[in-house]
Amino acid sequence: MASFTMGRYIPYNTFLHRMDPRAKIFALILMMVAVFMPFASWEMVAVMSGIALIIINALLLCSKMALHQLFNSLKSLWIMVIFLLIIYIVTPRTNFSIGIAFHIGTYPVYWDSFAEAGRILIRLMLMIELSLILTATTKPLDLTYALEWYLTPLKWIGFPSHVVAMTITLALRFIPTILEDVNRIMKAQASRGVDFEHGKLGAKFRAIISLIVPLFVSSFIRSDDLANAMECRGYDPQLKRTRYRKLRFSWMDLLLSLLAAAFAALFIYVSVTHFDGFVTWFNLGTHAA
Amino acid sequence: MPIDFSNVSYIYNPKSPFQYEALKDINLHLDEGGFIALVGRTGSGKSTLISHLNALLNPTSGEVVIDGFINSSEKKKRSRDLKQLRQNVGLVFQFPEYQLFEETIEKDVAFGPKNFGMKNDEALTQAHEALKTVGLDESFFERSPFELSGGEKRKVAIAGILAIHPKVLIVDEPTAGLDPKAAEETMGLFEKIHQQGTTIILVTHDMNLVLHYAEEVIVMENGKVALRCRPDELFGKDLSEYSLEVPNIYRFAKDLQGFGMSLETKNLRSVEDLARAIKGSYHHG
Repeated sequence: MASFTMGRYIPYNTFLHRMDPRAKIFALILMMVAVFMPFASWEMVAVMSGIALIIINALLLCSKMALHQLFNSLKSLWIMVIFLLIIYIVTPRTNFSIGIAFHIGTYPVYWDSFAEAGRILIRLMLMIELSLILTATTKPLDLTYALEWYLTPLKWIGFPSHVVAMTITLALRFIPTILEDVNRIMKAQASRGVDFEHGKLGAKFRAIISLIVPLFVSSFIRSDDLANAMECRGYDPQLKRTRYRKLRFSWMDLLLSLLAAAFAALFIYVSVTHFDGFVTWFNLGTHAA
Repeated sequence: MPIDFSNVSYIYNPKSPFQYEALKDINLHLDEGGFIALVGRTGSGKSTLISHLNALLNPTSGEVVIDGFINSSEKKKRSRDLKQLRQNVGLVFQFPEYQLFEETIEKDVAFGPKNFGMKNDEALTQAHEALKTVGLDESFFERSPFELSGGEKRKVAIAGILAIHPKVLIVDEPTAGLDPKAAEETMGLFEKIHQQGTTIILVTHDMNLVLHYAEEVIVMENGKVALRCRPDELFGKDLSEYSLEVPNIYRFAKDLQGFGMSLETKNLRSVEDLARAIKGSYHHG
């Protein structure tokens, strides 16, 4: 059950929590783009990944998130990395720039394979960290407000952006409720002798059925109740609505967005121009000679 | 099946902003064969306490021993035989009708026994027996549990636990949302099972039930056991600090006393007892 807390909003009061969700989404998307930029050589990849790692982990620390949460979500990545590594090792390529690490029999294993797998590991890790920062520091409701705001231009061409945003809001609102239901039903079935963790495939399948069916039933009842309650209070998606909490864009949000833009600009510049400067300055790689 | 809590504490979501201490250093001994009511305001730790009896939760510190099964905070000390424990301790949750999932009622009730290793036809026999105990006859066996009324669904869910033949039966708010007749039937059922030797632990907010059925009452307050006594002793006291309701019989008796009638409130458990006490006071007065 512990893993259910992953990606959950954690109420602290850091500058990341106070940041306008619209600015936060904007900044994080820019940073994700930056993280996914390709670079000229493996030395540059190492340098730029290092910069991204430092900055994003610093942000993570600022968000005051419990680090064991992060490790929990990263644990499952290992299998993928090993899988990737195997693929990189067995697929033959021509341009190896680093060199041979060792031989398995007569088959050469290149350092490049490790570097590639490492690069993808770091990218995925940074992606996960960025999205965790977003969800841990932003209330789900604020996230959907921001989303609705971003969808406003689509309203002009008749896209029902409010309906979409309301659907997302409701879906997010019901995640904890449904998790509670899951918890309750699992407990009830466990007292009837269901073992959700051990057992053969057939028994496991039946265990899942005994969870899913009641869950569907209660979810349908809930959605029906909710629809009735909304109608009773005169909900009409076509009407213009006012907000209890208004989003406010402050100079701090502007500053942070600009910083994120600068971060992304640096990465994009380095990538597009095949800039190799850092390596030559620090006399790191073979290119320096 | 004696049950022993020694220094049991339980903390939800430890080391996070959601941390909450639900049980604080509980020490409790429950004898075999009792009918015990567990009362207290919402959030006082009742549900957390009963979850420990079925090892659905492991204590954060301390240990619970249920007929030899050890549910401890330390992994090494914990007993392994969860199935045996869950067969011995049946837990009927609040609104148990939400746990139904099979196509037919008999299959749903037989689900528990089958999980505890019973063969299919044997489990079905147990299921039929349990269904009859809760008052559902053959015509229900093949029907879908989803087409029943709320009260009938609840009966099926309770039968699902009874079919396991637990030695301790824990029921959490069994009468919530039932009409008075169904509530009385349900409680009568638990009384009957109790007379056959099963220990019953009843979690409830309804003090009338506590007074009428329980032999002993445990009051929880802020994760601690605040009080433990006989129901009629409890209701003789001032209950305002535990936010417990006074049963109708006691409210009536206290009102009569307020009008100057000298009434003996000891051993008052039913309307009959009250009538007798009133009559007795006329004889004396």
